[in-house]
Amino acid sequence: MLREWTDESLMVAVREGDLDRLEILFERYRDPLYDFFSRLTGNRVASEDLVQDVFVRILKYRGTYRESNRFVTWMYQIGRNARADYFRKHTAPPDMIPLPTSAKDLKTPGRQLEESEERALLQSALMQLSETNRELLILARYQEMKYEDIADLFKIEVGAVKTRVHRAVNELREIFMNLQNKGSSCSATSSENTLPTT
Amino acid sequence: MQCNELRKHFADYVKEQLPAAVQTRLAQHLTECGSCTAELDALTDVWVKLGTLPVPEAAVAAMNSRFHEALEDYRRNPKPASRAEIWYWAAGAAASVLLVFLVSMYFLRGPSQVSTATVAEVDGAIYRTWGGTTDRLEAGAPIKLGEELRSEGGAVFALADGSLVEMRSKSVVTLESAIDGLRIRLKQGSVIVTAAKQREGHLYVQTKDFTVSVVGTVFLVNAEESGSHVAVIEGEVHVLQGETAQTLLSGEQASTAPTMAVRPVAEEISWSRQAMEHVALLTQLQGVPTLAVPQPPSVAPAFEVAAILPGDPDNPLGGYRFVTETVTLHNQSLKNIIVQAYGVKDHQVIGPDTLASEKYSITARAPSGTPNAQLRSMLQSLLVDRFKMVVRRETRGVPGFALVVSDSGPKIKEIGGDSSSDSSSWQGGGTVFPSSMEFTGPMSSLVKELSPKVGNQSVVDRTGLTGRYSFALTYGSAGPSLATALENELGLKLEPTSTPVEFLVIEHIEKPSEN
Repeated sequence: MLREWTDESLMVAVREGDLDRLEILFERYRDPLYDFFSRLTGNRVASEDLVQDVFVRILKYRGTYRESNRFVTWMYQIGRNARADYFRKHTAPPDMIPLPTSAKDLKTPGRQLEESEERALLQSALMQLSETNRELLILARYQEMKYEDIADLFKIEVGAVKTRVHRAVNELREIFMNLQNKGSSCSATSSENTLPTT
Repeated sequence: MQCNELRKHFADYVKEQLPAAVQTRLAQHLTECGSCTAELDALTDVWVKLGTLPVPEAAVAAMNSRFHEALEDYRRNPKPASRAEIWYWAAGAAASVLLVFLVSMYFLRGPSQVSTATVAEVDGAIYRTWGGTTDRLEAGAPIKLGEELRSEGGAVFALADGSLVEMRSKSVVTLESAIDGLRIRLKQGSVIVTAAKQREGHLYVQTKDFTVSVVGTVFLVNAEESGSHVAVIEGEVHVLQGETAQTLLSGEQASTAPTMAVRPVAEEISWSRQAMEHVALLTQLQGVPTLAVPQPPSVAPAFEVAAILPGDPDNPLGGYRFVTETVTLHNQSLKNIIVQAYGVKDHQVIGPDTLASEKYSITARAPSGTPNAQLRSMLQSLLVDRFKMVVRRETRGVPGFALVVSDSGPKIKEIGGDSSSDSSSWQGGGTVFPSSMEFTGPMSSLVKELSPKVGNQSVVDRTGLTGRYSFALTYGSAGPSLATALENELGLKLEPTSTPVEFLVIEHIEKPSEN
């Protein structure tokens, strides 16, 4: 039978000195961690630094890992600490995607680009979410973490996680719609101003 | 009342984790409640749209390189966190990130104001380019970080730590700061580096294809358009190419492109003004036994001083490093010590239970000038002399896998071209994310890629497919297993088989003699 190395068995091996196994964990979680940090911070360079920092910390604190902990939860806890530390010391404003504050900032005309404009507004709305809600949503939506794991990570009940995710999506939708409405009213005004008089 | 109760499950609904029983009740409720239907539609709409938000591509190669540098650094100098650090970490310390940030800022400032190297000898001419201006340097001229050096004729420059870098004619290099040392970026041509002992940090030579890291050694690096090449004259270097790392010892060489002509190391360095000395060094060291051959104690080299202390079997932490003239093993099981001494894998060592249960810390110093290549041989001698170890080699058939064509025949198509475009990359994996692999190359390369995915068991190629193939494969997480994906998508399967593996059988070992 094929032997599948679980994250936990790999981390136990790393803890006990088999550092080659960390390369497999890095291979598994480099991209998901980068995705997590970049969606959370909106800053590419900071996100790359943070991925590096997480694995340096895993090496340094490998002795504290216990088999009873899910590796993915332990790793994201390290990631959350690393991010908090980073932004206590540095300012790293979003730099990856142009973030219009409302639809009026979108200059691209034409229906064919509606979708990309909508994505830009949603991205902007996501960055305006409260930090905790943004983190919850990113973990649930993009990192595909189970609610049980998120509950473990945030040290709250599973039911509370579900309620907060529900609220976060509602809050996001509200911000998103406000941005769209701002854009619509502005466009309407603009159209009225440019209509030819008869 | 029913609305509030069912709304608690909306988060499960968008994540498609709704229990079947709730699903039926919710479906029924939605046919009757316009308010819940509208809210759920709106939630689902946002949830789906969130899935379309892109993330810019990361600089993956740079991330890989930084990770491997950090890992190598840790291997050589493990620094587990103290109890105080663990507490401090829990409280949110940020020292390592701050360091990364400061180094990044240091880089962004442009060339250093402090000279990092000095031109030592010039045969023809050496030119420095910075900020759009180029000037000719004479012997004794300082060189700063970020400046590009181009040689017309041979030239040698000395680094601040005493390392010497000999440039072949028409070579181009830039000195850069690395996170833990200095990086020589070789853009074209060849250099021979005589590295001084790196007391703290590392010296790297980087080409577009690979990174070579050293502690103290003599080696050549050549960068051409078609690829890069490294040859070791003395000592040991670590070569990192993409996600593949290998260690080269004296007399060994490696190229990134098969089209690059591989000649004996002595020929490769014939252009050097120190060629005779390098060849003499090489000849002297060629007699050094390789790691895989255990030495009879009577002729094996020995450490000058070696202290052995009992370790703590209950403490899972440990580490080891082989730096110039010194071997340090901290809290390692006897088995790990043997693994390090013979350069074999853990499962290749067979012996009594004490191999796993007894741990030791060893600090040993070799005579001055001992090349790194000899340190492991000396550790073998120490095991024989102090632990009275008796070892024999034995080849056994062990369970492994044979990659064969499935009954339905291969589903991959042969591609043309040569091996210069061979590549493989793995992403994702684990219990959360599916693994995906992109591969181009022959079956002989594929089996090497598969081995780590099956617990490092040996995989042999029995497909009979002789060409080169290119494909993408996804498996794991909620998708098919690796075996199923291989069969369904590629028409290949892994069959259990017996493969020959060499073992070290420890016939006798006892507690070490007094220091």
